[in-house]
Formats: sequence, structure tokens, C-alpha cells
Amino acid sequence: MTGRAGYNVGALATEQSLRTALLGVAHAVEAGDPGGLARWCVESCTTLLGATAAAVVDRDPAAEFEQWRVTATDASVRELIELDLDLPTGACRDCLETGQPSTIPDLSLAGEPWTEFAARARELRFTWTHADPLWLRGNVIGALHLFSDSAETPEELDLELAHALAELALAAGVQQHALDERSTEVAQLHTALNSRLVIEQAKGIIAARHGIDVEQAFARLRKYARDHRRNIHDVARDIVQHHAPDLT
Amino acid sequence: VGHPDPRQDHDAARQAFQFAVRAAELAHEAAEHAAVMAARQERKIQSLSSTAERHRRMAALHRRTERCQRAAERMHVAFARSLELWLSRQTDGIGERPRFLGAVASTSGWQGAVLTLYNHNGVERLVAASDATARRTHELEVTLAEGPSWDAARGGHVTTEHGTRLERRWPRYGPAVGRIGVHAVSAAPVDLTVDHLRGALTVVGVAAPTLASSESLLRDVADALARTVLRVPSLVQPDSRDLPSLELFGDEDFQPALHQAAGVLHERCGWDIDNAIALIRAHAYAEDRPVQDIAQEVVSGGLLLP
Repeated sequence: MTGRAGYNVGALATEQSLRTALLGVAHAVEAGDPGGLARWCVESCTTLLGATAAAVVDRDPAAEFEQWRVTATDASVRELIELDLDLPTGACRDCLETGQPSTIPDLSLAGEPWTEFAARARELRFTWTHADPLWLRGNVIGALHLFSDSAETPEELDLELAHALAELALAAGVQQHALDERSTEVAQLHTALNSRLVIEQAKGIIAARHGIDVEQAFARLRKYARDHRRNIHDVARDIVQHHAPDLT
Repeated sequence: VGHPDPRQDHDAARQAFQFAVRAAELAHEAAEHAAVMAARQERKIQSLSSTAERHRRMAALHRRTERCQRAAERMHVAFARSLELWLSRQTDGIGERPRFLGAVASTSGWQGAVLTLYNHNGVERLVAASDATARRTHELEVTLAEGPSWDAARGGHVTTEHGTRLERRWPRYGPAVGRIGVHAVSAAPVDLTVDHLRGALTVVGVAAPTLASSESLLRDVADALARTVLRVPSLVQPDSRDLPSLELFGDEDFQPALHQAAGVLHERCGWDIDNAIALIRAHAYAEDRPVQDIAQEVVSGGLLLP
């Protein structure tokens, strides 16, 4: 094997394939669709880079505890990976935990911890497989699994490019999720604080405007909100920001 | 601000108790899970020398999550216990309802605690305190324009001073808090990872805890506040007065008088809210009086600013 991290670098993908692949990822990122990124990745590996089947494993960002999710070219490949992830010493978990890439050029000759995985993969008529950990800032964040029904590393399969595309897809997904989570959770706290404080500020404004005390001002604010079936902090915000409505 | 009647206070305490028990359970589960994940990585540190460094790093991340969740669990358990005790004594209606920051203080090993959240202009959005002394130390920090909370929120690291070092570090704040019996303070940033909301947890006491690990304990508690405690979605509920409330905090933590006064100045002089708050502070500093007193006078019409 030659190339980075033992990759057997096959023929280069055509310029056109690469162009299509990059446009695909840009589109999914722009649409804010993290699931779309993994789907785009497995599709690119088969349609553009010459794998027979592909799967991407990554952490489910919505799960409270660590949970891996699988995106694959079809249901049988997804099942193959999921079954293996359930094993304490399976091939997929080994790849995720050791952070080591592995290529099995002949699945019928595979040993531990690949024995079970190889047997199931052979049932799906695969003969060659490659498992590749995906890294982000020093941590394994997922894995790429490639399959082929040819006997050796496929000539046309560019492993280095497949790896780069998969890492790009997962990194974009992780960033997207961090952004979403950060904005929703902290925004909730921020909104709660704002709406509470804006009510106190509106009390002061109403009191000063009408020459009444803050308790009376609050009563007037509450009554207005109820009479107009509006949320009390929406009314308060309008008063602070736009000096309206007039509560006389 | 009208105080809720004893019946409402009792109901609120019961609700807070149930919330704390549930939050403690969730934190416990999350801590146990992180411990399992960390142990799995730690086993691999020994077995595979080529990837040892990676596993060490991942193990450290899981251990940090574990410490953070355990600190959250201890805070919620301490809060639940104090509420339970208070509820059991409520037949006579004695004593004030326990505050969450009281549990934060005891978990950190200090006598008092103040949690402060600042907006992008450095104006407080929340000042939650365990007791009157802790609240007063924060007020002095605001009035005198120096002190540990602001240093921690801005500088991003833990800072601890006690005895004469307190006066040397903060020449105005040090002697002022000394006069109300505070001779040791420590503050840690509460990093919510956004620029528009920065926070600090400041703990105060007659003396610093003798525990050598007290700074790292404080860091874990502050971490727990930022990463889990302040992020529980069920935090926000409108109360019986239609006011949005955060389960863990009380009315005065939102500094109602200060914000009402800012509203008054906004209406009368056209100041924007943050500038109005800055003006009230500046006045308090010039007069050497508590910000809350000045705010109260503005609201009642007794003080005309500027």
C-alpha cells in the first residue's frame, strides 16, 4: 500500500466528479441540512468515486448520550453496520475507538475483530472493504466504510478523496449542530431574562408617563395585555422600543 | 414588587423541589455515562501505545463532563434538601424560602455566592445571590467599579484573594467588603460561549476554604452552571402574576427597581436603557450609596436625574 496512512490511491476522480461533489456539499451546508451532508457523502463515494456501497457513521447530535447513527447507500448496508456497532468488539467500534484505518482486500481471509463483520459483508456479496476513522480537531467524530465487489482495491477508487469528502461532510454537520444548539439553549435563557427585565422597564415608563406608581403601572399593563389577548412581555417590549401602545 | 402570599410561596417551593430532584437525577445519569466513556478510553491508554495520546485527550474530555455533571447533581441535591427542610417547617411560616445560590455556595465550600450575567454592554441581566451579604458585595463591586466578578467574566479565569491581598488587588473594593465581614473572595467565569451573555460566579466568606482543591471545585461548579444548570429548557414558566420566571431565581435577582428606574429615565429624558442604568450607577458611585437605593428613589419620584 502506498500514500498517506497506508492508502492505496487509485485513479484520480475526474475533474467533473470532484466539481459535482463539492457543489453537493456546499449546497447541503448552505441549506443547513446535516443529514443531507452524510447522504451526499455516501452517494458521492458510489456514483463519483467508484465504491460499490458506502456508509458514514457519526454521533447523533440530538441524543442525550453517545449514540452512533448510520447513513448508508441502502438498508442492508446500514443494517450491516448497525449490527456490528452493537457488538462490544466489532470492526466498526474498533475503528471508532482506535482511530486506525483498515483495509481488508479479501473478506474471506479476515480475522478478529473483523470475523463477524466480514461474514455478514460477504453475504451481501462484498469482497473488499475499507474502514476509515474521521477526525475533527484531534477527536474521532465518525467513520467512513467503503465496500466493493471486486477482489482487490478497486483501481478507480480514490480513497484519499473519499476520506476528505467524508471528513468535510461531518465537520460541516458538527459545526451546524453546535451553532443550532448554542443558539437555541442560550437564546432561551436570554429571552427569559429579556422578557422579565423589559416588563420592569415598561412599568417604569408607564409610571413616569402617567404619574402613577409602579404597582398601578403593572396593573394597567396586565389589563391591557388581557383585554387585547396579547402576551404581557410583547406589550412591554413595544412600550420600551416603540413608545406604544398608550395605556391611558 | 408585591411579594407572593405564603400559599403561593409554598407552592413555588414545592415546584422548585420537584424540579431540583428531577434535575439531580438527570445530572447523575449523565455523570455515570461520562464515567463509563472515560474509563473505556483510559483502558485504551495502556493497551495501545501508538494512539495513547488521543485516548488520553478523549478520556480527559469525558472526565471533565463527569466532574461538571457531578457538581450539577450536588447543587440540585443541596437545593432539594434545603427546600424539603423549609417545607417541613412551613406550618408556622417561619423563615425565608431557600435560594438556589445558597446551594451553589455550600457546594463550592463557601459561605455566600453571587451569580452574575452581563450583556454585551457589561450591564447585569441577572444578579442572583445566596443572601444579603453576598448581594451587598456584588453591589459594592458595581458601585466601586472594580472586583472579582467583572475580572473573571472578562479575563476568563479563576481568581482568588484573601486577607491583605484583597485590598492590594482592589484598593476600593477590598476595604469596603472587609467592613461587611468579607475577607476572602473567589470568582470563576461562567462561560455560555456567546458574546452577548457573559457570566461569573463569585463566592465570598470570612476566610477562604482550607481545601487545597477549592479553586478547581469552583471551576467545576461554574462549568456546571454554564453547561447544564442554566440550560434546562423547563426553566422558563410564567408565574401566577403573568411574569416569566426562572425556577432557580427569585424576584430580586432580576433587580426590578433598577430596571424600573431605567424605564422612568428613558421616559423622562430619552436615555436608552443601558445608558440610564450606567447613569444610576454613576450617581451611586458619586454619592457612595447602594445602587438599589438610588434606583428606588428614582422610581418613587424623590430623585430627579440627571
